[in-house]
Amino acid sequence: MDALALAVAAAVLVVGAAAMAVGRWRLGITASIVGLCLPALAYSGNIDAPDALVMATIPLVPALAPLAAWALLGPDRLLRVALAAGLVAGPLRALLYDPFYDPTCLTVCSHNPLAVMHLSSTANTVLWAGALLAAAALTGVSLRSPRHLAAGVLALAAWLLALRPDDAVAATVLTAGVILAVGGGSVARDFEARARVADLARALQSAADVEATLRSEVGDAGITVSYPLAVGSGYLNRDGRPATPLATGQASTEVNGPEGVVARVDYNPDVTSPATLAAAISGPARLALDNGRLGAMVSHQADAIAASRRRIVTHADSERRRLERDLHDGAQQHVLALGLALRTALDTATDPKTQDVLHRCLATTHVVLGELRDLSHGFYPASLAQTGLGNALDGIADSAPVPVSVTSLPDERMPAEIEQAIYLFVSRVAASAQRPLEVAITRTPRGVDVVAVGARTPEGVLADVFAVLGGTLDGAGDGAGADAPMVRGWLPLLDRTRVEVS
Amino acid sequence: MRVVVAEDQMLTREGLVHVLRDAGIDVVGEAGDATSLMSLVATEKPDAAVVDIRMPPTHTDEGLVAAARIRHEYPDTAVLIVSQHIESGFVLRLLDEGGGGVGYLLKDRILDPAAVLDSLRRVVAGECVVDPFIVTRLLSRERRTDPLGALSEREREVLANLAEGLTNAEIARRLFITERTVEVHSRQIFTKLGLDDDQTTNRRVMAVLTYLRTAP
Repeated sequence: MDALALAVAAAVLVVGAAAMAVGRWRLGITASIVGLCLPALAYSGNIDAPDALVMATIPLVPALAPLAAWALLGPDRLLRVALAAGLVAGPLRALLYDPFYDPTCLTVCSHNPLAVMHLSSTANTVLWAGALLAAAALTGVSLRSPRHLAAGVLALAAWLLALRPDDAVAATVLTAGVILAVGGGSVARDFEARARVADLARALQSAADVEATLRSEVGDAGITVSYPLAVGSGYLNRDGRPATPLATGQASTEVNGPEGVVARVDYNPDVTSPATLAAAISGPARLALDNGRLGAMVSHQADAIAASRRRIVTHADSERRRLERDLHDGAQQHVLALGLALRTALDTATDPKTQDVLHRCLATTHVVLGELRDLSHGFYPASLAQTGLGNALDGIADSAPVPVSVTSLPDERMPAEIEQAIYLFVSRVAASAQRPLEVAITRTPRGVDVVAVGARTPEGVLADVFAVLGGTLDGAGDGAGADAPMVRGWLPLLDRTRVEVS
Repeated sequence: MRVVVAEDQMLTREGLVHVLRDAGIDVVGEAGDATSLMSLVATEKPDAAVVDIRMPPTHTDEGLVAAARIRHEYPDTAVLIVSQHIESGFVLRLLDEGGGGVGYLLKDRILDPAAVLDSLRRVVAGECVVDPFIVTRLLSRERRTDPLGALSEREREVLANLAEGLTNAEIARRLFITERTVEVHSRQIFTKLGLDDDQTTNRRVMAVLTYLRTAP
């Protein structure tokens, strides 16, 4: 037993020395301490060992385990406490304890040459006090992480074994108890951590409506949260719309973040004290407020982009109508008058050369009139508003480069902007089609489906027109495969929310 | 022939009146909108009204609405619509609402006084007139199948003339064939295309136009 302990101790010391030699200081120190510790443990229960050696070594043992843990884990306030407890309790007991005079001593009960007084019961009390303190500190350290737990439990076990070398069973039970306590503490801590994460998650979830959360938490229905605009002055509500100004009788407080004001919280000072509010908007609420601000900014920007797109599409629409009107009221009329003048001139001209020129002029006039007519029709077909989609789509079929057939069409009229969008869609896809086009327009419960089989994906502006009306438009297939390419669109007819362009 | 002219654009109206007067037609009134057109028709009881399709206040289809009313309330007044719009839908609507005695000409035709006079004469005679350009466009429409391929060249010529609203006698004169031959051709056409051969001119024209508009 002794030889084995010495051999193991020597091996561990060699390992420690080698580790220190290659610069692994922490492992080296730990191994050295354990190596020094082992003979002490071995000798502490040996009756033949020189009393002075045993008595000189054992007091150091309580300090060794915390020291080893220190070397393993690095500096820690609690380890320092455990070390101090061991360094005080061990030597102090050695000075007070003399086994020879201890009535409870059963085995190694020789004199303690170091003892200055013979106060065995006091000595044991001192030791146990130190042990409790060190155990508490080591348990605390063990709670920090799994690594700490392992090191802490090992240190505790070694320490308890060192304290009670004669009573391995008691030491084992104690160790198991400590391990259970530490393990239980760790589980409890895990549980608490998870609960904290859940709390945070809940707080983040309610970030979507931090206003409602604050209202219910604080109990003030007058609380409103608004967020500052990134550029310029002014505040937004959580939907990104301009916030309502501070009502009379309301107080407001600004929540500041690292980059300036995060949010403004208006509240009713009669109901809510500033201190209550300050408590409510600390911690997770602050994170939620910042999230709310980001959300408001995104909504604000999305609104701005949507409004811009709406303006562009609406403008293009009114431009098309204006051009059509201008062509009809201006150019067409004047070209017609020109033609009539040419006709009159032709009637009176006698010179064959002049007549020839006039004939050619008249022919050109016809061409110009035809081109103007096609142009103005392309801008905005006259039949659309008056006789509906059927006739207007027929007009497309008249001049399309490919056969265009409309396989289904709702009987009832639809809102003008919807019909215009569908007309624009069919005329564009017909113009770019390279194979026969089949258009089906069908009512759905909440809108109208537009499917063009044979159409190639149209330019983005059509998707904009559909999107502005709250619909969608997407192409499927490029026509390379066997399947006919297809473009499918949808426009809402009911519950259409459309923000008017200001 | 006594005619009223309704056209809101001054230049075009003057030109139109000029063309008609030069051709010896008695223009008994001019109107700038549908309301004054209706009162002119009521007081003058003209043989025909030449009406722009697009007039105040909405500048869309006032002329068509007025045409239907005139044909309904004053059956002795024929209506010739002049239009910038090359839409067969408008033509069908005019034929449907106006019955016989209506015509639809593109404004370009004003430059061809003979065509205007001929059209006026035909509508006053109770026939209907469809601008040849509109018929040409319908005939040349791209189609998946070629239903017109079953027709002979002569039959296609007859079909185009039918669609323009010409009577069998006029078609015979134009194509230098006998009226009897036109009848045979037209019966062939209607059989081949699967149409009912209604001998009322405007019904026949509508059947042909509808067929041309919807045949795939």
